[in-house]
Amino acid sequence: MTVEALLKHPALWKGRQQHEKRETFSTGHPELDAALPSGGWPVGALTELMVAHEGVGEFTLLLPALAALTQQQQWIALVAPPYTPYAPALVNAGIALERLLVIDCNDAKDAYWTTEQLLRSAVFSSVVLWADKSSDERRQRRLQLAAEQGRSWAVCYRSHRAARTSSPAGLRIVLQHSNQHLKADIIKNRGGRLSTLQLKRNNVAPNNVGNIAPIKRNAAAAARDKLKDNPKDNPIQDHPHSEGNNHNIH
Amino acid sequence: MNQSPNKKQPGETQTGEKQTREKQTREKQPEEKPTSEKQPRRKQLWASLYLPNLQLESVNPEQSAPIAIIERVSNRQLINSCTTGATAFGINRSMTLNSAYALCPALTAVEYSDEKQQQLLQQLGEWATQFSSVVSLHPPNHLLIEIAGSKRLFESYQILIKLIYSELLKLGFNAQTGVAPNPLAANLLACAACRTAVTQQEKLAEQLKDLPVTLLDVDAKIKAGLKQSGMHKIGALLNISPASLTRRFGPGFNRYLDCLLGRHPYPVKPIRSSEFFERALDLPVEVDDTNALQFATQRMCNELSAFLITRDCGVNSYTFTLRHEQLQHTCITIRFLQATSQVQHLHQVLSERLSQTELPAPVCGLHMLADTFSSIERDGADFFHKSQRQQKSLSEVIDKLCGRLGQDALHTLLTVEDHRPEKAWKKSFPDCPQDYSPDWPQRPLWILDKPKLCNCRLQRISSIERIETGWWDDTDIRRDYFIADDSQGTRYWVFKIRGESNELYIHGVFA
Repeated sequence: MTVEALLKHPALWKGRQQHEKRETFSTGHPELDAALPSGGWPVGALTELMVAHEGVGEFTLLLPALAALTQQQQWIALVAPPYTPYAPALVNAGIALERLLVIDCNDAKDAYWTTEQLLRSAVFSSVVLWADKSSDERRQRRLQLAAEQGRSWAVCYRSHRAARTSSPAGLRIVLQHSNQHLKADIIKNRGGRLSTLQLKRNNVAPNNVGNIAPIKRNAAAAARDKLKDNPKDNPIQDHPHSEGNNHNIH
Repeated sequence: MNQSPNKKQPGETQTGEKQTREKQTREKQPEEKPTSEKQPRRKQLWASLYLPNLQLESVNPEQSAPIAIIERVSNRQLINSCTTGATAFGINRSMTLNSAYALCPALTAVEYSDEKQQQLLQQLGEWATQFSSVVSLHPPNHLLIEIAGSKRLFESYQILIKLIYSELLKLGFNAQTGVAPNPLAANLLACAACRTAVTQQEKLAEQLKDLPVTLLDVDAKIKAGLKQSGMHKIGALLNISPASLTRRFGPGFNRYLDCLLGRHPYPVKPIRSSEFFERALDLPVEVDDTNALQFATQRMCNELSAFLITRDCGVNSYTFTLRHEQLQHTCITIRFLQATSQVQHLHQVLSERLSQTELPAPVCGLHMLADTFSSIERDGADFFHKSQRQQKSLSEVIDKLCGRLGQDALHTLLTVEDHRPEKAWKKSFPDCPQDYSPDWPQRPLWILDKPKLCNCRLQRISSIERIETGWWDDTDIRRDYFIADDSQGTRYWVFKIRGESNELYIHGVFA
């Protein structure tokens, strides 16, 4: 086989070839945006988040992006969440509840089926699935394909053990708690580099009633800025909740 | 010589007068009749594609290899057309095959066949139905497309003609185009490679005047007769009375001229399209690398796509066969999850499959058959930011999910104005009115349906929020809530019951 013949092979990825600008939307975390190709969560691909212990801020990570979507009147869905999503907290994060659909499933099979249907429908801009141990490569591939087809952002939470297996997802991040921060270890990043980030935990605001108002305003401003849609020039420096965080940890 | 038929007329007595009268009435009739008829009818405009090298280009679009199409003329084999690769050796039209072989021993000769020509023309005709609803074949080398009806769709004639020309070039065919208000004139202009489009009936005669009579689509005998009469240009024919032309060249010729000039309508037979898509190609040279088939497969996919677009449907699966000289053919069936009609998609899937296919022997021919079609879902650009489409398909999706998971599985969330955490939210359904209050105190993202007694050591990281309410119904609560971390970094929303023991209950998780 000649070199030319080899180069024409469709399965061959050439290192220098320019990546087409992919559709993304800002994560709301400037450090994370900078680490991801095209500056944000990838649209039309599966994002896998692997969590060792729940409650380390793994879902809060997604909220700025999800809030921005719902405020643009886009539908999002949560499939098989482990607990009841608490409406007041979602409202605080800036999510327009009328655009959020929650789906409880009896078993993993139903959950995957549902996620796939939602993704393929192209109605939902984002679908978040909490997968149990039964997640495997084949199922993840189906999700990835469905996300591509529906041009939506699929997120799947998996156990941290899944980090050792291979997956067709476009983006894979291991989330861990580390020293009052959320450590995001990007172990697969299609079109970008692998890196490890320390993200601030944002959900502590002890003097509760007092600082709600600024939180709301910031969240709304962040969403508005995202609407303008240039992730690189995104002026948001502070995360909506970071103010409270800095001041109030004792 | 030119005047000779005219001169004779006055010489003849009664019959001559009769003829002139006849001529007048005949001239008047066609002038009046079509106008009275045509006014209610839509004005037609025909584009003719003249494809002189159809068979050659179907065999080898790249023109680099020396290939010639030969035709038998009274026991001699003559070159009908040849590639630029062959002309480089000095081979040209009407040369005998033997002398061509003498110039280039490596020449590949393919015999011309009327059947093949008809088939190719039919295929191109089907392809052309994407541009117009009226397409007609005019064998051996002409394809007629009525373009007045498609004007609005493609904005203008010029754009449409350019589009047809460039799309045809993508298929590997070079065409000369001619545009005129009637089919025969369009054919003639295409043969003459006349670049100016004639869109008005009045200007047609003017445009045809200077073209040589050899271009007329009539018998060679008539052409010779015209030449002998000294008529070299079509303009000369226009001055002669129809009667004398009929006398000299028969009534058929006169009728042809009338049709050519638009005095009589020329009936065209629209193409009949087949119910399935089938294409075959014999390769002139055997190929042992699937990459070399790119052009041929691309053309087949283009044609398939045009076939599908015309019918407004997509293909679910098709069979692609690679034929080998002696071994059994390699058959590839390509299935699509959803019916598609996009060229890019069709071709990408095919070439990916081909690149993975091991060829047991060199390929001598290709064959494509598609016969399962279904309608495709389109998403056009939506003016209203996809909201309407979204609403429609949202209900479809929800219906589907409810069908499998049950009505209760799906819900949206609402907040309720209540201080008690358990009662601060409720389920709702997407089509119910949604109303919720913003500005809540710091709350966890997950709430446990039932608070859980906590056994592990927690570290408090926030101040206490006291919730003491609900005395009016049975769920009176008096709790001190705060946020606490465990050693793993999990952040909980926990409470102590006031006035009771020091036990901690987990009520939520800050996920």
